[in-house]
Amino acid sequence: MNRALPLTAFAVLCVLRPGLPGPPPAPLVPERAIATLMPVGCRVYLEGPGLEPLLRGGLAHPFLAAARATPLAKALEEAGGSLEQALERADAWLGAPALPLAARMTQRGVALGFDPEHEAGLLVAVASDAAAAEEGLTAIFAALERQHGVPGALRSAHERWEDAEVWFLGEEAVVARRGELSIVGKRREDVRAVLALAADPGARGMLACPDLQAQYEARAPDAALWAWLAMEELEAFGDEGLRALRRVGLAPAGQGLLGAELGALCGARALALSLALEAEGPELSVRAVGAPHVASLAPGARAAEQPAEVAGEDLGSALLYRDYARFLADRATLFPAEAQAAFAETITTGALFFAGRDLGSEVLPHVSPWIRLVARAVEFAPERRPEITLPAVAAIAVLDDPAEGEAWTSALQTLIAILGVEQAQKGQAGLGLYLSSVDGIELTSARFPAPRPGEGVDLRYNLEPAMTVVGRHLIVGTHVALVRELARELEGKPPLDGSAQEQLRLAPRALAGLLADNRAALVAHKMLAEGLAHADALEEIAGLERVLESLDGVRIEVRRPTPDVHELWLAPILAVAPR
Amino acid sequence: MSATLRAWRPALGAWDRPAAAHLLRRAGFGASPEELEQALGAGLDATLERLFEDRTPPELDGSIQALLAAESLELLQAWWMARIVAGGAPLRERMTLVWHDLFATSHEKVQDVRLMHGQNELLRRAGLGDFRLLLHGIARDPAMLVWLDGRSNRKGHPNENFAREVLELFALGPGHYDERDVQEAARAFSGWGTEGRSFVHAPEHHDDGPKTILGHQGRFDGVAALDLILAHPACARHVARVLLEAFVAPMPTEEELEGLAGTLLASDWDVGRTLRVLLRSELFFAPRARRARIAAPVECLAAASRALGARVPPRTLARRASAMGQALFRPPSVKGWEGGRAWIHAGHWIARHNALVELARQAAPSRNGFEVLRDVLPEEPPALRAAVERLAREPSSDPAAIAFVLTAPEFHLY
Repeated sequence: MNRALPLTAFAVLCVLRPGLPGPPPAPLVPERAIATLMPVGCRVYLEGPGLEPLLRGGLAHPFLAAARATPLAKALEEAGGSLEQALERADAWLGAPALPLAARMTQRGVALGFDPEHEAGLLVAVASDAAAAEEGLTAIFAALERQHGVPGALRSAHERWEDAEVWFLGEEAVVARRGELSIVGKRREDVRAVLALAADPGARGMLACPDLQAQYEARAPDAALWAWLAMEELEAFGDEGLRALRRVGLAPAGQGLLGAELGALCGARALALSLALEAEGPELSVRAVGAPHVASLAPGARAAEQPAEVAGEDLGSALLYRDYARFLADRATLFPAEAQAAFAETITTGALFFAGRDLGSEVLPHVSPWIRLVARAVEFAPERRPEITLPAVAAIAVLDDPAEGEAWTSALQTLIAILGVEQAQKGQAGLGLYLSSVDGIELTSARFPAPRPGEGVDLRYNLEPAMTVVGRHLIVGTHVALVRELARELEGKPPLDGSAQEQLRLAPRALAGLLADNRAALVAHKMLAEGLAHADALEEIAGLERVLESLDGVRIEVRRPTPDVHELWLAPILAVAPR
Repeated sequence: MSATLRAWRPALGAWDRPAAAHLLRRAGFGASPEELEQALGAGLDATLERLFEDRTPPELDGSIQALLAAESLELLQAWWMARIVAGGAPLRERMTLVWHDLFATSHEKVQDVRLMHGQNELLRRAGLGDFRLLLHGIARDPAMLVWLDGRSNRKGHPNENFAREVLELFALGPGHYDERDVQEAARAFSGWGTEGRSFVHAPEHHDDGPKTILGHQGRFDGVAALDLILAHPACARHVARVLLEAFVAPMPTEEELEGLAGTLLASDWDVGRTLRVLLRSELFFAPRARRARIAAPVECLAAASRALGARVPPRTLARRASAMGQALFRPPSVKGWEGGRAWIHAGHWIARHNALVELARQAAPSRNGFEVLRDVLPEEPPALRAAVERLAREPSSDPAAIAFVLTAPEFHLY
């Protein structure tokens, strides 16, 4: 609704005379895709192929019912009124039940396009029939007339374009109706373009783009929303952050960091997004089109085992494919000549830590590119519990031979010794090195000297780095307690064979607990770094906690459904609020 | 009491916007338009009393306690900047900065945010009290002991750094001691060090032998050495010079020094009571004291932010102050910041200009050039007013007019 619709605009509109009514337009072909009605200039396209069940089901829709049971939704409804009340207000404004009306108006499709060059949006909806479109627009116009106190201003069309009736809502919007088709746009030429497409049964609209057409045809028919983002073209209108992300995605170094698949998504020519609203939660799929990637760095390029599963209370875990052996081996082809010196330096420095062995040819090839990351909250000794607690993180990889573990242990010990020298030069206490054996497992660890009572326990006490080798599993972690736990869990487990997908699992409720533990520090940080008032900072952190408490889990996978398609799949699982 | 320190009795109309702004600027960090109006209405005495109060919101104080464990100097700088800009304790924050400049200690060497915070709290807590306690406190302050190598000052291997600076910079000034006093005072301070983050006196490292300091003989320890330094006639004059340069003008006269040193001694070294006299004096409000020195970056940013009501994150302000040459907790040397014209050398001026233009842009939606001119330069120099009038005729003139006022040389005289 346009609350800012100026009265003067209405006054002008009232004196405009509509053109003479013409013959009714030919109806649209029933099976015609709504994307064919959207002009191809839209760089952002959003369609609601599966919105109808949501509109028909209303608040009883399984997804909405589940979402409303979450702590976040309950808090929002408590603060801003219930959804029932909001719907009642909408019905009262419209003078008719809003959701059924919207369902009828969009029964055969609804799509939204955006052209960033002209900052112009365009809404196209196809109703069940011409009567439904007319009924819907009449109700909306009547509501606008009541709201602005200009009865009759929109009762009849202001102009007639060919076989379409057209209304002007001030300078802000043009509304057109042609049979069952309703169009709302900012610019007249965009609305005319839609009408021209509608009049041509063979028009392709957005489907004239082959990339889009391929993804459009492959989309899940029951997706509530489907979107297309022409990233390459949007880059010119985006901020520096978007450009930097795309640069990272396109660069081999970025793919080395993010992984080949995720890098490909960042650097893709276009993205196709699909959102399904299930009772357990939303599922979002992001498919990359025209995604350049380094094949040799992609998951499965090197046949390798994966670390065995672990089964603790994880805050988060991930399975990633990072083949740094291949990365180093291919450096001459992946990187320009000026970057080679940095690689040479890295390899030379690596040799210092790995007893003279070549990092690229003698160390990394003996480690699996599959790496399992695990994040857990750990128990600290009371005198060592940091005032700001961070989760411990460990990486697990598979060694060709357990004897390879010695080189890694020696590298960690050398690193800690060097850091200790640096700290000593500053007159500060460094990490002390410890060797221990737990249940027959030898473990190398390091820790800072115990803090003096009453002098505070700093962030650095989250760090008690440790490393061990269990069977052929190499475990390196930020805290010895986690490394010890993982060693026990992996004891006797062989590595896994077979291919896998890169994946990430998060436990949002546990993360909310971590946030709650550090709430005072987070609030203070917001006050000082962002300039928020104390109450506002507190509300922001509480809001974030509520979001996390509203999810039982988050699953993210990076898939390759076909060799040319990279897909990111994200599924938050909704949590039900405690009664 | 010296005539220069005689209480100012403003004639009718003399307690005006420029006078009130001068007091709020020098004894604090400027004022919001509302605070300036309030000061005009309340009068000099009530305004002065308000400057001594501490109304800092407890949640702001608590914010740094929650973050000390993060070991972030940047957040510590932001916290102090937030206290300064909040204006809850104007004079206390002003004196904390004055003492930070005198007892200049840098995180660059100390490398411990908790120690830097501890010293800052000491300066804040003791800054308006007995100077003798402040000096004794700073001599045992762990950050100072790290900064001036007190930890390595041991019997037979004296480290003279702290002794030299306490005589030269902190308490007496050149010409009032000789090299032997430095060496003997260093022996007296031997054995003072740190264990963890706490002060510790290690008798086994203390040189208990006889010493001669400033003409006095005895088996002096650190406490006794400080008492001898405080008893030297130059000490009160040294402190008076620090106060006069901060609150009145650079290069105070002999008469002013004598006058304020006498006031300090008469008040039993009470800095707060001394400042009540100084800030109420004819000397403080004299024309030669107004706009008599170049604003330090923190003063400049705080005064502009407060006058404009700009809500800039404290971390951003602290970063800008650093770029302008005043990184809190990181003075460039034991002598503190050079100040004066050094604040506006080419590199610093560009950073200052950019920071103020950005502030102007942020303030523009709610303020115009005339309001800002009235608030930050209540003297409203005619040439500036004419220029703002010219700018006001341009379309979208507010950011340009505000930036023009903030970058005018007059605004940078504090």
